[in-house]
Amino acid sequence: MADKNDPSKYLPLSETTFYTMTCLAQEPLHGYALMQRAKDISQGAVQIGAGTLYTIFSTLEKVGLIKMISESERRKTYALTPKGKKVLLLQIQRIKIMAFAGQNVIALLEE
Amino acid sequence: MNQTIVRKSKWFWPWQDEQEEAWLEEMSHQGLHLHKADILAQYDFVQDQPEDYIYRLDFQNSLKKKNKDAYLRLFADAGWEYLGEMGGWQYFRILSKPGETREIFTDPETKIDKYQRFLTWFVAIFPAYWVIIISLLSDNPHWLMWLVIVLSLTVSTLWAVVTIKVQQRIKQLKAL
Repeated sequence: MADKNDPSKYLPLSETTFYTMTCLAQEPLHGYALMQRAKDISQGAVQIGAGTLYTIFSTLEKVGLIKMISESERRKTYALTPKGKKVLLLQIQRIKIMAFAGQNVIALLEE
Repeated sequence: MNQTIVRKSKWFWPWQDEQEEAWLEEMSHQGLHLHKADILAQYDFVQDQPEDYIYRLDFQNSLKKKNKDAYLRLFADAGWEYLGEMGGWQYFRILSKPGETREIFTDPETKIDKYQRFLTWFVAIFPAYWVIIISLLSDNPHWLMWLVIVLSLTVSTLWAVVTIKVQQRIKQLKAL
């Protein structure tokens, strides 16, 4: 049996989940603010739909990677949990390795 | 000004929700805009100028009141107008805007979750259905028994078809 607390079992995160968690790593946000932030930091590449974000919030909350910290006017504000931080950190390290591996073949691909 | 309400009956299968969205968009192009979705297989349209609306359906049938409020707020913040619920299907629409993504689901994973929510519920109701059938069979006259058997076989077949079709839809999305 894998360690229940092993953060690698949540990897790889989907692109949308990755941006959701990265936005929350900056500061706690509610849904609509997060949609705008994600579009911003992904340089317009990732636009998150309302249905998608609601599903991701529910899933991440259920597994304890994020938690709701406040609610006002029916808007729920979420923050990363310590477990969520560990998972995101591990994902970022893996992406760095991926990017490095990719970087090394760019010249070959462009030949 | 008086609004003309046009009532139309329409049925759709749970794996055909995208065709349903396209049909509602086509109706709006003809100036018939969905007014409210609440009665199964029946829509009320308001007649007005044609509009370029985009309709989207989600499936949610087990949200608690508090979560439903937050859910609807998120959609409203993102610009979606809520048109009501029909058998667990949530109806939303938004005016189309060139250059803007108008989707409620923006990745295949969460789109699959939508059909998965439907299936989880749909698979769960089947045993409940058989409990009712068996309790009916245990103390009823002969002729009624046959009727119940025929009926339940029909329902079971239908149930299997829906389950398989929705699973196929999920498989299609997974291949993306």
